[in-house]
Amino acid sequence: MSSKLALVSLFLGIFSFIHLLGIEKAILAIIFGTWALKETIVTPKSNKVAWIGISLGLLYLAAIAVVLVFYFPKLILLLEKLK
Amino acid sequence: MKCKRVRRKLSAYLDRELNDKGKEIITEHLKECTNCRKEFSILSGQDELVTKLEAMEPSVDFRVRFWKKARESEGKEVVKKMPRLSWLPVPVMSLLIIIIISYVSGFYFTLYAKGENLRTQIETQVLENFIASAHPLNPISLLNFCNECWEALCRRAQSQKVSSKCICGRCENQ
Repeated sequence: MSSKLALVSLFLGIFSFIHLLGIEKAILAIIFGTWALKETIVTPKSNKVAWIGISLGLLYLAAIAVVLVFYFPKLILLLEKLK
Repeated sequence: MKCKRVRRKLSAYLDRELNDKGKEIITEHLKECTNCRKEFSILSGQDELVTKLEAMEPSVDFRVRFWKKARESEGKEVVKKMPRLSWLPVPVMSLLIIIIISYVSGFYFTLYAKGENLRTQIETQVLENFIASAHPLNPISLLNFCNECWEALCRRAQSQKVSSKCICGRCENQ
């Protein structure tokens, strides 16, 4: 387990240098949450905490995707009309 | 002092936790009693062995594993994880990332084809929105960027006579 936490620390350290609207944090939350769910021993509390982390990560990605899906087609259409 | 009482105090005697009187009594008893002296030598041998061992840090999940085994030995039910839904997050995440990348790429490639002037203007707005003044809630930052982009493109469309009126609804307010 301590080696897994060390790995988490390494990934977070690497991703400190990457800024993609916070998407990188959401991805890490989902990956580590899924990893926690696949542990051999899962207590109800750690199960809940993992699912909360995963849900928040997915919610964030969904919020970004909704803004892009709503706005970008209009922007692209307008861009295409311009010379 | 009786042997039973002395043996109960042997550990404290070894750890030097007794007062002077207690130490004296036990020392005197050990001189006379072979059995207690033998018991004391075994105890001090074990103590020496333990002192030589390296300190071990228990792993983070030690407590979880310990109580799981304890519950199993009592015949109580072990906590089960939910295997059915644990496969779901990664595909959903992948789908959302594909959506985000495809929309951003589509926008950027269309922008790229329009020339350097417009591209530079939009890229400056990206820098201003996302790097210079980062909003705590990044979807709102993205929303602001989209609105400002829309306004910039609307003005350009009006200046190029592609559109006769304001489409974004923001140009008229200024």
